[in-house]
Amino acid sequence: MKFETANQAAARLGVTVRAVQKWAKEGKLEGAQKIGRDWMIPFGAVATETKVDVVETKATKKVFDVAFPMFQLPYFSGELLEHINKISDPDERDLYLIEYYYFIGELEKSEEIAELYIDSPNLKHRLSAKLFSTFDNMITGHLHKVHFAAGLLKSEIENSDLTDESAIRDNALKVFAGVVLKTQLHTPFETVPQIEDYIKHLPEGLRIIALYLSAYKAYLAKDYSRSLGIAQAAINCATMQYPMPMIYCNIICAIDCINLLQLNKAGEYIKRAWELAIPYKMYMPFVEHYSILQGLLENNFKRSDIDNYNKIIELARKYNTSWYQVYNKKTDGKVTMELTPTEFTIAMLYSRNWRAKEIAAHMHISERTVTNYIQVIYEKLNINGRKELEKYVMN
Amino acid sequence: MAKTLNRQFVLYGDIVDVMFVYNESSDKYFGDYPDFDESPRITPCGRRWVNATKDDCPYADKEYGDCGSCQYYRCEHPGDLIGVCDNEKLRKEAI
Repeated sequence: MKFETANQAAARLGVTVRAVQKWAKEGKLEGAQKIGRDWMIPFGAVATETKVDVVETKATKKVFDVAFPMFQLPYFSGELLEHINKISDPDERDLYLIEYYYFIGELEKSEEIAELYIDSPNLKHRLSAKLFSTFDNMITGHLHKVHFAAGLLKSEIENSDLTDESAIRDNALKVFAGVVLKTQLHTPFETVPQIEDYIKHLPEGLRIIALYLSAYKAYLAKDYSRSLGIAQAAINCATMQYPMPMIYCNIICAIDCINLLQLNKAGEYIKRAWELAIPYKMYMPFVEHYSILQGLLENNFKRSDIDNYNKIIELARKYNTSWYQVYNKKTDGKVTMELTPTEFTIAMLYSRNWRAKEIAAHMHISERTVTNYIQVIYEKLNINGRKELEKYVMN
Repeated sequence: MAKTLNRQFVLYGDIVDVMFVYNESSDKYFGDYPDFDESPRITPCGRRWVNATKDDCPYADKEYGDCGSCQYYRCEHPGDLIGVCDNEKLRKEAI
């Protein structure tokens, strides 16, 4: 029997690769076999039930051509998943689902769909799939897949002519994806250009996220005032709500404020992010930033919203452990695997030169309790000073 | 009953006893260290015992500010959480 790839079958049938993969998975393409990650389709096979759809699709289907759709959603309403499942275009629905499942922490579901689009001929589908697959696998601990998906994304960007003005919008999306990868995962990626040069070519939702990335870069350079200014400007200039970008911007504002010792403002920003995110179970923005939130979640939500807080902690532990294993071989994840969330928070604050009495006031505990925590942290890590602690948590 | 161990910290001829209690969840022993701010202790040669976590000493390293990271902190074994301050200025004050 002669076989063809899912791509070849899709071209022959005039449908998307995703549709072919889905039919193969559902057993509608007789004789289709999965070899590794790819489906092999018997040459000439057609899913009988879908013949009508094929004709219709060929003639009338409008390709869903939006990258990172959740970031571009102007508002959230009602049951998000219900709305997404009602979308009739399978590609559009899947692209939303990849991101939706990621943000609510259902990583396996997100990855299962993202995998189908990694080789998509559509650039926007491909970029979304590669980026979210990297993050999904980071948290599920499939480290070889993290390197695989991140590597594909990097080569996609490195093999493009990013100076080509005629493809400036596509190039802006590639740079956007590259900068997300570089900034959020702290991956070495010197060839990706500055996002600032491409911001104006991005749609509004992504533009706000790009500004958040600029703010995050300033935060990493310890320029907290500049970072706060950028993120505040992004929040104030948006013409619609854009909940996902706003969650990220409010979180970085909160982190900047805490580093500027503006504790009340930090509380206001983190509460705003929480109000936008938690009714829709959008946990991941908090998870991604957990290690630098420095007690803000404990302070504001540990008592009042323990279930959602615990969900974030559970995901944050996985995320940080994998992150350290991938990118920080020196400490080998010890700091996140051995420390409890409270110990981790205190370790972060203490390594940033907060005094025990300042941490005590911030976390509403006694100074003696803070000192006890620090002793336990030191014993767990086999160290005895702030200088060594800094090496563990600040990398 | 919790498993315990005793360890003697010996510096400059002075001995401090610390009890360590076993913690099952982390499979480690944790010390019940004395608080030398609350109960100061001086070696026979006039040096102060300090906790590595003490972070309000005016002579500490400016960058880190805690005794554990300070050049004057002396401990019996690397990583010990109590030790003795070798700063002559503080020794004179102690005497």
